[in-house]
Amino acid sequence: MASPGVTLTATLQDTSGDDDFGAWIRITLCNYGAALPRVIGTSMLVKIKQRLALAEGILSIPLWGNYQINPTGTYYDIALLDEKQNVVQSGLYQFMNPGTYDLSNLGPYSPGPPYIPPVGDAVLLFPPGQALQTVDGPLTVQGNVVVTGTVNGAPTLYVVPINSGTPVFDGSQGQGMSLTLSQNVTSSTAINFPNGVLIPVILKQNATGGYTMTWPTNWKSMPAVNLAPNGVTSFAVMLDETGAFYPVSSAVWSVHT
Amino acid sequence: MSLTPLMKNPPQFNPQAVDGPLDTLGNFTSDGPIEGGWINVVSVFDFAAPLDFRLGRAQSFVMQANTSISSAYILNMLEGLPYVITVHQDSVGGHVLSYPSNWFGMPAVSPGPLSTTKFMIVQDEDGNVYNMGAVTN
Repeated sequence: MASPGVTLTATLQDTSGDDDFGAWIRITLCNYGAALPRVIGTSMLVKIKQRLALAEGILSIPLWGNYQINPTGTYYDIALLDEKQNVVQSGLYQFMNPGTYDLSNLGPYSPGPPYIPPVGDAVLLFPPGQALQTVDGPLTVQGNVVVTGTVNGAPTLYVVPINSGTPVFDGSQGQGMSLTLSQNVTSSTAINFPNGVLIPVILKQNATGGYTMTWPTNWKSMPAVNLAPNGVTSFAVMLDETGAFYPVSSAVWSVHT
Repeated sequence: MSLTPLMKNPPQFNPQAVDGPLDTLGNFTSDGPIEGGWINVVSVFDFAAPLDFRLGRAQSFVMQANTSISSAYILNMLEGLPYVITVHQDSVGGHVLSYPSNWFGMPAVSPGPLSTTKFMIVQDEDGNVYNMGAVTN
């Protein structure tokens, strides 16, 4: 059973040093947003407001620490009231650790900007009912997504830079790879490819032709390259679970105009 | 554009449906599979309807005569993605298929009656389309 982790104490004395019998104290939980605050991990609601008469000017009361309250970011407004329950003084306090705190030497809490309850990642930019909708941010769906149209995402083709003869096939830049040879490729690498996905490869000679290709070392059984000017070698590869790429079709040679 | 209700079901209803296009400015992440149209079977390619790859990445049709595909009848092909074309001869067979001028390395269609030719294609950054080889069943 969860229990309050904070004990708040206070001793009120009048100007002659005697206990102040007429004083009251009011404790109000602040900044919990639109929903009622709960004790973390339980179904208990946190007491939001309480007003106490100080018997013999002495207070000792258990409170839920702010670290125990959901949502986070709450704090207490603690006010001293006179015998007619007029507010004499008030301050904001936050208890982020368990312990006993005495109000007479407690430092006040200075809240930052108002607490805004968290919202989902996805924010619909248009009112419900508008046929074309835009989501301003990531959208996470916990179930299946069924799309009767197409799913358009990042660029689907990566035009691979020749990079001084050492190109990098980067799967994060597109599903298909297109590389035009303007010099011999002496080494190449492949990064960021998921396994099990068909990866089209279009390897083209420029108008000069005759350039050789060195495939990444983990690309196995790669086809011979069409060396003709404007020659094209087109095929598809797939990454397997061992980190090796294999062709899934016989390469086709052609010459583009 | 029709202004039909976006969410077909009340908030908090499970499952939820989006009635119309959905654009995301950020990532689109799903914990489950993403399902879409994949196979668009055009029973007879007669120029009455284009080959629309938005309707499916695999297009299939039956030839009943010599057939010429022009670029005007190819819709919504995205560069870099693999597509599959399946061509069937009818019971007569012998029909010839010709391709757009910017399609390279395309196969001659098998002429036998009821025969099937299936191959993969991909479009490059210049709009040219290349054959990536035969697909076997």
